[in-house]
This record gives sequence, C-alpha cells and structure tokens, in this order.
Amino acid sequence: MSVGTLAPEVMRASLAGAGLALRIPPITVRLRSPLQFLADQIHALYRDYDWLAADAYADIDIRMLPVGGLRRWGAAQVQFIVDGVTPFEPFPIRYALPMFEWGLNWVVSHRLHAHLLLHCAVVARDEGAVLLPAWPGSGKSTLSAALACGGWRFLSDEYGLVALDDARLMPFVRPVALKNESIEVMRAFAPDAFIGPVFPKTRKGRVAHLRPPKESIRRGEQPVVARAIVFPDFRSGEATTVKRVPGAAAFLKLAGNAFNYEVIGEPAFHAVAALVRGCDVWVLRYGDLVGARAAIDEIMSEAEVR
Amino acid sequence: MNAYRAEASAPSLLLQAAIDPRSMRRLELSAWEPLLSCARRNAVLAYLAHKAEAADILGDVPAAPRDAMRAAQTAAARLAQLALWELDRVSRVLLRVGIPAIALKGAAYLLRGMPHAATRVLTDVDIMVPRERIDECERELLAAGWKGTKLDAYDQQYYRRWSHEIPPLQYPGRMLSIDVHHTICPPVSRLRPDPRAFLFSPVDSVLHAAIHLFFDSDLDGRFRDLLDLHEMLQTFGLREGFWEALLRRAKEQNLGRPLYYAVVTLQALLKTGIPEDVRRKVEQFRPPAAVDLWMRKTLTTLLTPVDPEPWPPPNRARRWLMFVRSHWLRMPPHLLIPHLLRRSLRRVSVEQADA
Repeated sequence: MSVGTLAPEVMRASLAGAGLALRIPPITVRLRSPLQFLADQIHALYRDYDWLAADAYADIDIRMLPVGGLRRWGAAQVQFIVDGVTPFEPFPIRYALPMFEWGLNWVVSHRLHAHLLLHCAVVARDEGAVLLPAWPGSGKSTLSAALACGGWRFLSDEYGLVALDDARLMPFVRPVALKNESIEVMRAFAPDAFIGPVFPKTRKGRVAHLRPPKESIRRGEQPVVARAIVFPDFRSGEATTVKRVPGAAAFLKLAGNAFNYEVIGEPAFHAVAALVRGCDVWVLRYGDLVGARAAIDEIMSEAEVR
Repeated sequence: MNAYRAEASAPSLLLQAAIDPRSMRRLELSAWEPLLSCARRNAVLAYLAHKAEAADILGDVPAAPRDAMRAAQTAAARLAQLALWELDRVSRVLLRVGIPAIALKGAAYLLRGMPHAATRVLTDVDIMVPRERIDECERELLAAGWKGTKLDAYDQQYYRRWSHEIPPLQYPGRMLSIDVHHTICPPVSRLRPDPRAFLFSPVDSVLHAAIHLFFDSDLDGRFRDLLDLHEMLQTFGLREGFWEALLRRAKEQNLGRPLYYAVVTLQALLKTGIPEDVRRKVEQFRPPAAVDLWMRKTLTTLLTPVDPEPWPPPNRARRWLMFVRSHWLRMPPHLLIPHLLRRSLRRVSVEQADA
C-alpha cells in the first residue's frame, strides 16, 4: 500500500502514534512525530512509497520531536532522535523535513555496511546503470534528476549501494535534494515534477526536494548491473565534451570518495575493482542538461554494444 | 508504550540476550527492532552479534537484523584496527625516549586478544605512563605531530590538576584520540592506590575497570563498561587462583569497595558466574547498610541498559547525584562546589545560546 492511499488525518495520526513504517528499499524507516506540517510534507513527498504494518520490523527508528526543557523559551526547535540518541543540535522547527532527510542519510552512511556506499548518483536504462560520482559542485543531483524526468530509471542522487558479492547496484530511491539554482532549473526542465517547499538559508543554501518518478520507486527492490561511470563536470556556458578516464584513476576517485570503503576493507577493494573493470569510464564536461543527457545516452548505447 | 512494541521492555530483552545468547533464537521478528535499537543506544550491537556468532545462532537470526548485526561488527572491527594502529604509532614515539606505557581499557582488551575486544565502539585509546614523565610524554607526542584538544583555560587546569590525565591528543586526520593517564585514580582522590604497584595483570585490569566505572564515572549509559567487567570475570575466572588473587589484591590496595559494587551489580543484572564463596567474601567490603541499599538500587537502575524509548530520558535526579558523587570522590569539597557551580552555569548558558 502506498503512502498516497492514506488520508492526511490518518497519516498525521500514525506519525503521532506508533509511527509510520516507510519502506525505502533496501531499508524500512519508522518515523514518529507529532508535527502535523511534517506529516503533510512527508505525505506529499513520499506519496508513491509503500508503508508497512505498524508491527513490521524497521531498520531505522527516527523521531522528530519539538525541543523541550530550558530551550522551550527560545524560538521553536525540532530535534532528530535515532535510537534515543540526538546526534545533531536542534534545528528551527520549520526545517524538520530537510533535517529528517539529512539525518536519515547520516544514519545510513554510518550503518549500511552490508553494501559499499559510493558517493554518487545512479540512473539506469534497460538493465544497465550509469554511475555519476560526486565531484564538488559537479551537479550530480540535478543531472540525475534531469535524467530521471527524461525517462531514465532513477536509483539514487547520493548513494551508489554496491553489493559486495557481485558488484550490482541496489536502488536507494530518495527524494532528490535540489540546491539553489537547481530548483529553478528543474522547474523549467520538468514542469510536471513535484517539488516540495523551498527551505531558504540552510547549510547548503536553498534546498527543495523533488519527488522521484513513481516507476523508479516501484522498481526499488530490483538491482542493476553498472555499465558506465561518468564523472559530471558542470561548467556554466561551456559546450558538452566527453573524455575517457583510465581505470586506475577511476578506481582511486570512486574508492576515495566512498562513505565506508575503509570500514569494509578488502571486500570493498574487490567491489570497486569489479565496477571499474566492467564499465567504460568518462569525464563529461557540460554546460546544459539537454547536451549532458544526449552525451550520456550515447555513452550508454556504446557501452551496451560492447 | 507503543503498539508495535513486544511484550518485554527493550532493556530486559537486551539483558536476556547478553545473559543467554541462545534465547535470541526464540525472539519474534517484532522483538528484534526494540532489541537492536536498545543495543545501539548502549553501543553494544557488535557485542550482541559476537555473542550470537559465538553461540552459533547468528545464522538463525532473521535476515534484516542479522545484516544490521554484521554491519555493526564490521564497523567495530575497523575501530579496533584503528586503535591498534594508534597504539603502534604512539609506542614508536614513546619507546624511542624510553617512556613505559601501559594500555588501558579497550586497547588493553585488544592486546590481550579478548574475544569481545573487537566489538567495542571505541572513541579513544587510553594509556598510562609514570606520573613523573607525563609532561615529557605530552611534549614528545606533540613534537611527533599529535595536537592537543582545544579547551578553555579552566578545563585545561581541571584535566591537569583534578583529573588523572592530560587533555586528549589527536593526530590530524586520524579518528581516535589518545588519552594519557598517569595514575589510575585522580591525585587528590579519597581512594588512592599506589600507582607504582599497578601492573598489567588480569587482577589489576579488573580492579581498574571497577574503579573506573564505580568511582570515576557518572554511570550514565555505562552498560558496556559493565559488560567489560562481565567478560573479564568470565574469562579470567577460569584461571587457577584468580579469585583468591583478586580478593587479596583488592584488600591490600584498599579497593574492596569498587570490587563489591562490581560483584553485586554484575550478579543482579548479568548473572555473571561468580563463585559463591567470592560473593560471600566481598561482603566484607560492603558500605554501611543505608548507603548499601541506596547504592545498590542506584547502580542497578543506572547500569541497566538505557531504554531508547522514553523521551526525555528518565532518572535525571539519580544520574545528577552520581555525577556529583564522581566529583566528590575526585576533589576536596571546598573545590568541588565552585567546580559544579561553574559546570551548571555553563550548561545553562550553552542552552540559552542554542535557543
């Protein structure tokens, strides 16, 4: 049953009570919060995700509670509680949604060591995936959102979950956190996509969340094989060019940027090696989304023939 | 209590699993979530995984909690690897100038090869050096690239004068900091063993862990320290002559009280296999009846695994009293009161600044 089938009052009541067990493959997150506006925002953003019965097993237990105690006299704040621990300082209460999204990412990157967690966006076409590893300011979120809205299957804008036994990519479909100009870029590029409220002045500037395509969420439990690795390099106003990257350089960039490469150790080394051996690796310099999408289409067609 | 919760409370599920790991096979799927959540809250999920593995039942655990347990083991094993590396780097510096260092706590359990050592969620590496060489030790480590933690002048002074260590040192880019202690108890403590007499023996490891937990901590979320004692007594207790040596040593070093607290608390919470006659003999170290009653109640309350569920966390008053007690044991009263006042005032100003 998808979240969208719940009436808003039921959604609010379950968050305020036993919590909503939200299936975000490959994990289940239990969210509890008395904040009605948060319930409404989650309801809209996670509309196409499944929810499970309240007694289902959840991997991660999160509460978003208004701050009590001495702090009560200041401006209203919200705290992120996972397993009875508050890893972060409270946020102003209206930032509950971005705090939930960041907090959940933080918990995932500290816990999901059954997979190698690459820092990259992942999209797929047919049965093959393209990894878009993060370079600072590379625009991987925007690029992956643009591909997702243009018919590609969306797996993640942040995490490449690599299975340690066969190096396949597991989807981890989350709302896409768009930052600053990307918000307007995506509104223009995909006018039909749902984008949640804009949160001004966060640590990363303005942030808004884009709801991923329903079909991608529906296929959230199906892994894919990586075919290509493309390092995006956004340069405003420049023409689209692609250049091959040697395997060894690609290895270091992927491994060096992963969340838990050192934690996992040797199995992580073999997983990255398998990925680099099985993929064509490119740097894609681009100035606009249409050109970038065409280039990635072409890279993928070539990889599929190979 | 929420509808999804299993019948038993999360802390009792965790205690039961620690006492009898095979009992985990009988858990329903709905009990795994509170159990794992509670284990995480108390930083003992990797320990639980290790117990399940040692009892050969990890394979019977449902897939999702099993993956979570294995992941916690992986993360803890990485910390153990980092701790041994940090120790290796530190000893390279100290050996060159001939400063002898003794590994304490987590690092010591690792060096001993204790089975549970690689399950501890380490944040630092503790070593002990002779008191007269601690300044030299700090200088050498700073010269070799470690950096001191940024503390204000008051905290610096507190560490150096009233605590038994120098402020933590950290090597840039490495995760674990190094805590250098000089004597086991703070220099002005009401309970002062002879620092020269401490050797790195099983008996002393137990007594050190007992003092550290019962006389030098605020007992806040220290269930995992209790598990260290549990593991040590179960391992060392099998050795010929260990229990006699432990009692003798505690008496001669005037450390009977922490040993008494350890034995009664372990017995009450973890059913640790402590021989009957040892339990009887530690009675000689019991405090006066009224204190005994209050302390036993407080120790079993505060050292029970913390329940992640109630919010805000309960037992604040008892915890605060134990926090005051840990300082009472450390500082003379005329210094204690200004210190505590300073701490509370600062806490208030921090909370106000956050608001």
